[in-house]
Amino acid sequence: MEEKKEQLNKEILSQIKEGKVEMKSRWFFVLRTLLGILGVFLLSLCLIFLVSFILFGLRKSGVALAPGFGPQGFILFAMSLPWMLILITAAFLAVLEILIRKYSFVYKKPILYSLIGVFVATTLITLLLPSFSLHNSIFRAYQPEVGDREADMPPIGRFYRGFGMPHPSDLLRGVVVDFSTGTLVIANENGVTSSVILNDFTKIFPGTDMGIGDELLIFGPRSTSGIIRAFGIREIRD
Amino acid sequence: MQETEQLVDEKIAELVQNGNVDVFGVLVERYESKLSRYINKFLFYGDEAEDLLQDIFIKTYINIKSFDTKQKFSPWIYRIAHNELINAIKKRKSNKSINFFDFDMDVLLPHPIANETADGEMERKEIRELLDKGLREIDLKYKEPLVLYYFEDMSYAEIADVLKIPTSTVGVRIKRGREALRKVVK
Repeated sequence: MEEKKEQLNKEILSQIKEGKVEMKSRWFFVLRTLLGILGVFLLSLCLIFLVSFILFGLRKSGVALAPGFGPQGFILFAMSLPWMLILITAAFLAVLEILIRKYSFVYKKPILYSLIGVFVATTLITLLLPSFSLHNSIFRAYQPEVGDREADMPPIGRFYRGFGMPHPSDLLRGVVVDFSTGTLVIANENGVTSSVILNDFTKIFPGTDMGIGDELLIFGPRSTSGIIRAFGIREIRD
Repeated sequence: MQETEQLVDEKIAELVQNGNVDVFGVLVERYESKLSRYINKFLFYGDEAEDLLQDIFIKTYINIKSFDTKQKFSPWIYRIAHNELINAIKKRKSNKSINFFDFDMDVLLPHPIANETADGEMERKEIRELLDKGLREIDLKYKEPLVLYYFEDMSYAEIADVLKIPTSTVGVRIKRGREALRKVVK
């Protein structure tokens, strides 16, 4: 037994002394740690961007307000969530979890805790940073002119106006251009008008003015003739 | 050399980091028997075990500058041993299908009942005997914490460092492993 031990010792030391085995330098490990930290930082930035963009999209499109109009509103909300972006965010979260899991303060706690920690931190940072005004500026910078096609926009514009933004068919955002009993005429941002019918089941958010020039969110399905039967109406005041 | 034999592992590791290659032999001598026993518990014997042991020490030398001398050396070298062991087990299973999505819920959720309890010497002896008898029968995820706890005398926190899992999960696995072992042996 002792002989074996000695032999192993000799063999290892001879491999080291002959230069067959070399110690990695401290810089290698420092660089690896720095790259790891950089990776965590960049992934965190991506996560903050994605979470804030999802929240911005929900608010900008009006989808965030849909659950306030009962079960129909809640279905509209669930159907309009940007599921692809949510999946991408979840994938980024998983990669971030893998990257931070090598640190003892992370792996000594259950994964659920670190996932919740990362999610809460990301959401808090998103809410504390002026990310909404940043997204709004980009959104406005890529406002298409009348007649412009989405395909002609640069990728960032297509992302902000197209792919990333919820476009629920049962939600219209626009300005009142005409009003008569039980019917509204709403013009969207491209100037296209739609008729909106109100009935006894239409829930109007308290404090909503429906005068000419007021900007409204109309929740309701559109019939084949293009008329919208509203189940909810809310004024936009931002 | 006699003076270095009095030094703690961490101090010896520091000397190796600073270029004193010869004292690495002291670490090899100190851990040879322990790591051999650890490897044998996972059913590696003879040449296969010797090659594995040599690989562990070579990896230890190559990566020794990543060791923080303010930490304990033992969990660090066992971490290297654990990784080498897992690679060897995967190689062994290379002809069989490996499930890459084999996610363990134990590490996902918190476990309230996982405190470290001081086992009596009698109980430790009993578990060691049970482990020797039922080693082949129990799952690797229970076997490894049991071996580290009962044979290598590591604490839950040290085992958590070796396996990179939550400390509470170590407690749960040791508890479940003990139960599984008792069932298997009886």
